[in-house]
Amino acid sequence: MTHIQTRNASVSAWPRLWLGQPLGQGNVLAFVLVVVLALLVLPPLLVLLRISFTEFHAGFREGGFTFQHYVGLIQSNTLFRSTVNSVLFAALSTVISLIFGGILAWLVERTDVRFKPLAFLTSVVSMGTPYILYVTGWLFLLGKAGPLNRTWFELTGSPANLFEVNSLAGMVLVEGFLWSPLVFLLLSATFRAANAEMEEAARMSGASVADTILRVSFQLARPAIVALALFVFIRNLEAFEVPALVGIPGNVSVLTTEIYRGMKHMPPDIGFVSAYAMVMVAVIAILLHYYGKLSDRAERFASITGKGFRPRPFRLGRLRWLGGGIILFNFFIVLVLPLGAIFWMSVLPFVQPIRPSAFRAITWENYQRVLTDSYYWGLAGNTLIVAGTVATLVVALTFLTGWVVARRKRGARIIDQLVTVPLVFPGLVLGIAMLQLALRAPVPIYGTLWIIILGFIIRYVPYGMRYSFSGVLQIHTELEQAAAVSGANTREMLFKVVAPLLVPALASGWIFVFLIATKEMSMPLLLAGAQSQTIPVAMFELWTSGQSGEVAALGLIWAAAMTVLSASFYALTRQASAATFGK
Amino acid sequence: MKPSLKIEGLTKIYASAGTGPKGGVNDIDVDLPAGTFFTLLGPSGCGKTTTLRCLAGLEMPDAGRISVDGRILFDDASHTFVPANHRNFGMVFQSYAIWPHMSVFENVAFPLRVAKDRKFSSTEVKEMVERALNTVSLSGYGSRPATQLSGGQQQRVALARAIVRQPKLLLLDEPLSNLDASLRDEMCTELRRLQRETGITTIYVTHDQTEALEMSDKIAVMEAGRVVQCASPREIYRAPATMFVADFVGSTNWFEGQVAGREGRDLLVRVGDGVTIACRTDRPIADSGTVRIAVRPEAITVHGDGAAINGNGNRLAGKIQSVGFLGSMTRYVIEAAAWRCLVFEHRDQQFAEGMTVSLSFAAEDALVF
Repeated sequence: MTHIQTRNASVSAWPRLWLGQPLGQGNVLAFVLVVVLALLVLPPLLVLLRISFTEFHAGFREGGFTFQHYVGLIQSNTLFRSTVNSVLFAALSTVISLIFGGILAWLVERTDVRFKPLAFLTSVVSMGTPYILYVTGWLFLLGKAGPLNRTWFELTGSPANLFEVNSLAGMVLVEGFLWSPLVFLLLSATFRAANAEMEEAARMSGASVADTILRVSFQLARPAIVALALFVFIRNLEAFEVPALVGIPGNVSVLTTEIYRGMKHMPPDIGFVSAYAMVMVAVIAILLHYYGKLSDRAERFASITGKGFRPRPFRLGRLRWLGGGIILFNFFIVLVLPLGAIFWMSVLPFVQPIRPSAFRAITWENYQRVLTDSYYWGLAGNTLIVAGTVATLVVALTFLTGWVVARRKRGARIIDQLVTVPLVFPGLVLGIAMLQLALRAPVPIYGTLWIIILGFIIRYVPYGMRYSFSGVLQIHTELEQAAAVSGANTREMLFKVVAPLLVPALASGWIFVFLIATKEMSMPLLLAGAQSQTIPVAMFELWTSGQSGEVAALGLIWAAAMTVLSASFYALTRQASAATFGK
Repeated sequence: MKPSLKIEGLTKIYASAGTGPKGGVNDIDVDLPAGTFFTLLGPSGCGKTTTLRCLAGLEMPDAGRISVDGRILFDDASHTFVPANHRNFGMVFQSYAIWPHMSVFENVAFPLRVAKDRKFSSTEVKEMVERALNTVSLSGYGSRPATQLSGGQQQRVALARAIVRQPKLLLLDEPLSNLDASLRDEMCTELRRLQRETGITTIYVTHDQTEALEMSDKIAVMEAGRVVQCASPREIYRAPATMFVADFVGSTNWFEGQVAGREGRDLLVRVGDGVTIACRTDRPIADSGTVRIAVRPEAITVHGDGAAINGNGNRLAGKIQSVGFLGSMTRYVIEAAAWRCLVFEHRDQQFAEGMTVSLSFAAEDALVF
């Protein structure tokens, strides 16, 4: 015994790494991962921090250290107002999407409600549709030319709108609808994983259906719901599409649009913007800290569910039609109406109310232009290259980090923390940081697809991590140990045993990252050059320059293609367990 | 005595898309006096849990009638269906279903708090929960969060919750299957004691024949959705009604042979060249044709070659194939007349592999099918 210990000690004394263990394949892997991750996630944070404390002279010459940007921020009259707006906007739209998506998820997963496939259809299509497309659809529906205000005008003849969409209320509605399909998907995973025996035990104890739902079903799901609410709240704080398209025309400013305005201001006050961004990052970091605690608690609740699980739905009885009505309502509100509105816009040369005279103007010209113009084909190519490269690299990187963290290997803690750093960036803020990095980079990547790809990789590493981490947790450690005992080294074990078993989880992660990369507008908005636009960015620019017909035609064609991909994602995740369902 | 539980013609068929019926139960009849410990025993998928869930009111049967103490709970003829929460049954689930958001006390008090037929005052609730926790030997655990319980404790809480309102029927769905072996033995005894003390009619579902034999007053053995035998444990073991029951409950040695005639009350069956087994049977069996014979391993005695054998039962020559020492007994695998026999011997006698021996068993112990 003593002999062996001395031998070990003398071996480890020589090639010690920073972690105090003998140098092995595992340590090399951990070291490489820590370095790669640190080089990815820290520079954007550091560059913003530095700029926010740097004095600028004319012509962007950097001066010394200063607090002036933060002082200016506090003295500016916009910070308070936009913070209040941001919080109101985020909180209220969270409530809407939770009520909408939550009721839907419960109905679909735990009852014998009708029209279940429609609820899934809605969320599958919305997974593949760029947010900006939905938003434009809603702007038409609730806008001046839309059916709502139009009917009001026909009835009363009053020129004032019944509902002003370019307001905080309009923003809240549209954002709430936008998020409800994702809330539906995530909560249905929670309800699906719930142990039906918990509810049956309440029924056997004499509880009525209402008592069972209130005292057991809802209480059991509450930690998951609260954690999800905070998550959606954070995402709504970071939201840019709705505030920009709905809020800016109505002069309702939130934090993200204030930052955007600062960047678009000529010349941009980059120090002030960075200070603004740092405040947001700090707030989000604090919220994320609480989110971590809440979701830990939710998992503890979930983990004590038993083996004897068989999903057994509640019988709604006479209420079955009401439930079906809610699903139909959601189907129309979230899918049929906005897509119908977009279709209407796509077949008209310019936006017109839905009225008989407008039908004469119907034309397929927008589609023709979109399908024949090489500009649009270039956009599609750019978007596919960006999304494909990002998804592949993110999955490759997180396969390794996910394994190291799930297996608590050396370096797991620091890797886990590094991976979560990008979550603190709103897309727009990361865009600003990447822009500053590109301007300072020794290689010319400013305005190319590469800077967008790099930004997306940083942004989506946490998402990929969720898939690979929970995927690895489902592989029994003994499968890896058996490989080691059979003589495989770490590399062989990872690529011959772990990777093949992880294929379903990694494939889900790949498609998820691919889809959100094709949808996201806020991060690439500031980064895209003339030759490196992606579809959502181009749609934003077309929309703001008034080419709504082409936006609609392009968006519909694109959404159809992405829906096919989204459907395959859905099929994959249905097979994998609820735990792999990323956020 | 007035019947406590009566099930008549209970049928519940699960249809699966395309492939027709896929399990369920068919035409179940059960009639139990109050205070019985009744077990539904069978392999997985035989319909025992479905029967229990129909009884609980968690499934809607397709046909039949269920009544407890004369109160009709389900009757397809009169379209009666009393929902689960109005039946006042206690139930312990396979996963225990202990609510993680409540303390032990609140879990047990839940049936009292949601009771619609009467209001329980807080002192009553406290007393009744204390009593229930005491019955399952968990007094003092009330304030614990449910998340900090071991498997055995969770099960006790589930039991306390099931009995706290003095239910008419206690339903147990494989409650021991998630416990490890030593805990299972302990809980087995506990459950039986508890049922004796409370006198609650108990329906127990298990696939474990040892549990069933040890605990039950009456066992219904189920196969493919039907009850194939409903009798006391002794009868199930000694006189299994079908080959399935003989095989499923306890170990059995099977011989197959031609009926060769009768000798007094015994049927003679030729199971090999010149080897005949005498079986005592009350069943009418044709005097010719192929039959199968079942003999329990412990009914067989092993003798050294040439040793004198008393009595006039069956005698077979055999050769020891393997010997397994199990501590309290020895297990032999013996080849006799081309059949493999399993024999449990409690005596200290030692036979080695390859030895030639004689087997003896009484005609009463040879069951014909």
